[in-house]
Amino acid sequence: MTAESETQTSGETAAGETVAAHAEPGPAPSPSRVLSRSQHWLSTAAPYLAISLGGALGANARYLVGIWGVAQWGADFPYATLLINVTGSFILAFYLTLVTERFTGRVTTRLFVTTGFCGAYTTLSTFSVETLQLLATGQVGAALAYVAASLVLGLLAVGLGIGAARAL
Amino acid sequence: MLDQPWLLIAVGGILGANARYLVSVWAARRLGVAFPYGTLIANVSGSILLGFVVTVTPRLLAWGTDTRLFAATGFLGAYTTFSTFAFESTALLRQRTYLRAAANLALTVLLGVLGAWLGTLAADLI
Repeated sequence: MTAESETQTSGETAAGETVAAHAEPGPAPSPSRVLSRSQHWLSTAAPYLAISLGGALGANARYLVGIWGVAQWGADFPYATLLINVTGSFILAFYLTLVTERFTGRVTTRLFVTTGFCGAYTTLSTFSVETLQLLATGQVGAALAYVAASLVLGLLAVGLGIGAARAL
Repeated sequence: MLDQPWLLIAVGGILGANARYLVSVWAARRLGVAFPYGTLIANVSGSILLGFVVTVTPRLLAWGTDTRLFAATGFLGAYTTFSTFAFESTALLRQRTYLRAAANLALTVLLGVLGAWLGTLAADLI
C-alpha cells in the first residue's frame, strides 16, 4: 500500500474528513439548486445527529454488556470492559476498512458507526480507572495483565477486523 | 428526575460522543493529523474526570446513582474511546512510524492511569 492510502485508512481520516466537511458550508447555490433553509440545517446538523444516535446506542450497549459481563465473571477483574473494548475495536476496524477499501460509505453513516457507536461503546476512562483500582489494591500483576491484554487483544482485533473486511 | 437508566446513559452518551468529535476536529486543525492528538486529549481528560467522579459520587449524598449513570457510564464512557485509539495505533504501525505508535500506546496508558489518579486526588480535596 502506498503511504497515501495508508493514511486514508487511518482512524484520523474521520477527523480529516470532518475537517473537510466543515470547511465547505454546502453546495454553491445556483438558480436551480438553492438549498431551502431546512435542507441547509439538515446538512449542517447531519454529522451531529449521526454521532448522537451512535453515541446513545453505543453507551447503552456498553452498559448492557457490562452488566452481563459482571454477572458472568464477577467484578474482581474487568473482563467486561476488556470484552467491550476488544469487540468494539474489531467492529471499528472491520467497518472502516470496508468503507475505505471495499465499498464507499456516506460520511454521515461513517460518523454514526465509528465516532458515534464504536467511540461510545468502547471506553478508555473506565480502563484507566480500573487499572488504577487494581494498582491501588496492590494487585500489580493483575493491573499489568489487564493493560497487556487490552493492548495486545485490542491491536489484534483491529488486525483481524481489517483482514476480515479484505476477505469479503 | 429522569428515572430510566437508558435515558440518562443516552443523553450522556450523546454529549460525550459529540464532545469527543469536537475535540478531534479541533486537534486535527490545530495540531495536525500526523499524530492522534485529539484522541489522546479526549482519553486523558476523560480519565481524569472519571477518577474524580467515581471518587466523589459515593461521598456527596446529593450525587446518586443517576449522576453516575449520566456522568460516568453515559458521558465519560462515550467521551473516551478505546477502539479509535487501537485503530490509530495500528495505522501508525502500518505506516511504519513506530516511534509514534509506541508513544501513542505508552502515553495513552500512562497518562490515562496517572490522570485517573489525579482525578481521585482532586476529589479528595472536596
